[in-house]
Amino acid sequence: MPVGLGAAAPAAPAAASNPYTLGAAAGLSLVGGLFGAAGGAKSGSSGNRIAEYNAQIQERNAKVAEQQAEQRIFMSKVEEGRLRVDAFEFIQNQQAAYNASRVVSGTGTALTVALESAQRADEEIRNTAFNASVDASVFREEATARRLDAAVTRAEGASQARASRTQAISSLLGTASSTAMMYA
Amino acid sequence: MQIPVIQKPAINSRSRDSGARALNVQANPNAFMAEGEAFAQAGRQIQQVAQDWGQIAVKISANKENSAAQGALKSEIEKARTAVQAYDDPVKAEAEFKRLVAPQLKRMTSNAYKTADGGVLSFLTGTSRRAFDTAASTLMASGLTTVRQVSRERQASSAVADTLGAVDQATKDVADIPEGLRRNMEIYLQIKKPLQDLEEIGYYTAEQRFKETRRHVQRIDLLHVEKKMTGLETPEEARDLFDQINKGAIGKNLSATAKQDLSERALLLEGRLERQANQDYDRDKKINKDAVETRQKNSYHSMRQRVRVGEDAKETNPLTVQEVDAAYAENGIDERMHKLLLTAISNRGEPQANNKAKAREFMKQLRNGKGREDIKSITDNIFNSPDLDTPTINSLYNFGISQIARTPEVKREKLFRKMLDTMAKPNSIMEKMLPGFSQHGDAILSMYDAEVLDGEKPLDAFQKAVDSLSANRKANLKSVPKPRFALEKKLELYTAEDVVEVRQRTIKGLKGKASTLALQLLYLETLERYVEDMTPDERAKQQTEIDRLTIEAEEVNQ
Repeated sequence: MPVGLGAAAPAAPAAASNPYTLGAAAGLSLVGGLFGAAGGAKSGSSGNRIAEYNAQIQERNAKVAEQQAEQRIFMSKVEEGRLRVDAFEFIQNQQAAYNASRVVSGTGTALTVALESAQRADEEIRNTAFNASVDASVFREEATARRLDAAVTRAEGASQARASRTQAISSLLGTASSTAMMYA
Repeated sequence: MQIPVIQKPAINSRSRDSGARALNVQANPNAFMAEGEAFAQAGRQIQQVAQDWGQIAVKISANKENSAAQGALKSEIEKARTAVQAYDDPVKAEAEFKRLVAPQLKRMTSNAYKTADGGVLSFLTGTSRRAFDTAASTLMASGLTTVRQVSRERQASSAVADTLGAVDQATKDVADIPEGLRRNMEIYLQIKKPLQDLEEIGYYTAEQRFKETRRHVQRIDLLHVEKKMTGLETPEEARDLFDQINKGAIGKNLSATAKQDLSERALLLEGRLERQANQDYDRDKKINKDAVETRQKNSYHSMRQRVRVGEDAKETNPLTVQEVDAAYAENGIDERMHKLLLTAISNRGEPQANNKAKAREFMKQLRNGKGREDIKSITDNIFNSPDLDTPTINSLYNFGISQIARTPEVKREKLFRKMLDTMAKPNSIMEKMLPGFSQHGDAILSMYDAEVLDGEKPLDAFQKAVDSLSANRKANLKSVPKPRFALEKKLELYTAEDVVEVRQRTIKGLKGKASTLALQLLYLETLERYVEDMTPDERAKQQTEIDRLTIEAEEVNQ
């Protein structure tokens, strides 16, 4: 093989350190890229966990709303019973008053008043029950809304986690590419 | 009677607002993602730093590799450029340049080029290679441009040089043509027209062209006169040429200075030819004298044989007095031979005396003879002895001749002559040391013979012959071998005194070794010629060198 006798050719040892320097830089670049990708993935994972946490709170709130709806129904039943007792007592007291006044309570006007009072008491009870069912419906709607919120929050978290993973992979590819470009 | 009933407060203690309440607590995901984000940010920061570092490393590496490769390529380009710089055809020069550089460039880009220190050029990154490719392209283009330009300049200068060479040659050729119409035509066609062409291509300005034309025309006349001068053989012819120059009969275009110079040279030539003629006459006279003596002796012996004596007196072709007188008149014999022959003729028929004791004595003297002159004197005495008969005289004479040839002096003469004869031949070392020496080989030998006949010692005759013919010749010191008895210094640092000293040492050291001595003397003669013919610049340079060496020697001694 012909040998060139270039007088200006540099000494080989002087250039020998460069491959190592460049290799170290490339290695550090890869490490940095891995760190970046891991950080991104970790961030996505954290976001996902927080979304789960928030969703669980929403679910709990939904349960609370359901419980409140049941509570309102229950309380309307209790109120209904109480109103019935109150109406019975009231009518009894009315009859007693009639009796005290020497008015036969089970007949005539006294009866009519008693019937009227009983009718009004029934109406009051029905109103109370209706109002309770309306309130319960509101609470049930709220519970449904909270559950939907939880689902959306979970979906957001999962989506964010996926986005972070994709970003990490993209970052890794970018690192590999830019590291390779050093030698290109 | 009081009837018991359930108390109201027990019923009223129930409330519809009792039970759990909705929680408004919501965790902010950003706060919890911040750690990972920070981690990722740190990673990105590290990566960015590493990338920046890597870019710097790439840049440094690219610079180094590119610089090394460019240096190697420049070196190859320079070598190729040097290799093709003699080409005067741009196309061939470019092709050869590419043929030389392209393989080296390919080796460089394929990591196969070995540098002078054994390393191999390589490119760690594509950036280096691309940078080098760009630089190499530029360097190659620049190299090709330079090669093309140099080649074109050379092409042009070759053409101009050819033209100028042709004009110079034409100047010499035209100088042989006698003045007249033909010479004028040749001057126009071969000198003026080419110089006009050179003016048209911009090589000469009008003024330069005019000066060059005038210079060549004047040179033609100068050469014409010089050629005439070279052919002159007698002082009278030189005088005639001097007159012609001064009257303007020849060299009409010569400048006043050239005319003056040629006049002076003609006068000097006249003097030199005069001296030369005298020298030739003297030399011939010496050589002729020896030849005449030899011829006279031969004639004498031949005639003496025809004078028989004693019982053999009846010779068929007897020598007569008229013949002897005629030979004497024509210088065929000298006066002494004339008398001897006449005496012999008058004594014809008489018994001839032969003193054997005297003959033995002569024989003894001849054996012990010291040198040519001594033996010659003895043979003269033999001739003048009336008491010796003719056969004895002839015998003694021949013995004397052989004794002369045996003397160291004559042997040395022959050796020196042979040495001169050898050295005066073309391609001899003497011709290399003193160019033009061999052209005068015959003259050298004649001069040597003349000096010997004049009685000079062989060594002195040899020295004089070499001296006279080495004069006016520039010695070539590079061809001179180191003398046998040289001083401890370089030949170019020799002074005239040094040469004299070495010559004395050589003569003393080589006593009795004629051939070696002659050769060494020839070397020293050349060395002396060189020392004597030094220009002032050379002498100053020599003195500077001697001073430097002296100072160095003193410093070493201290």
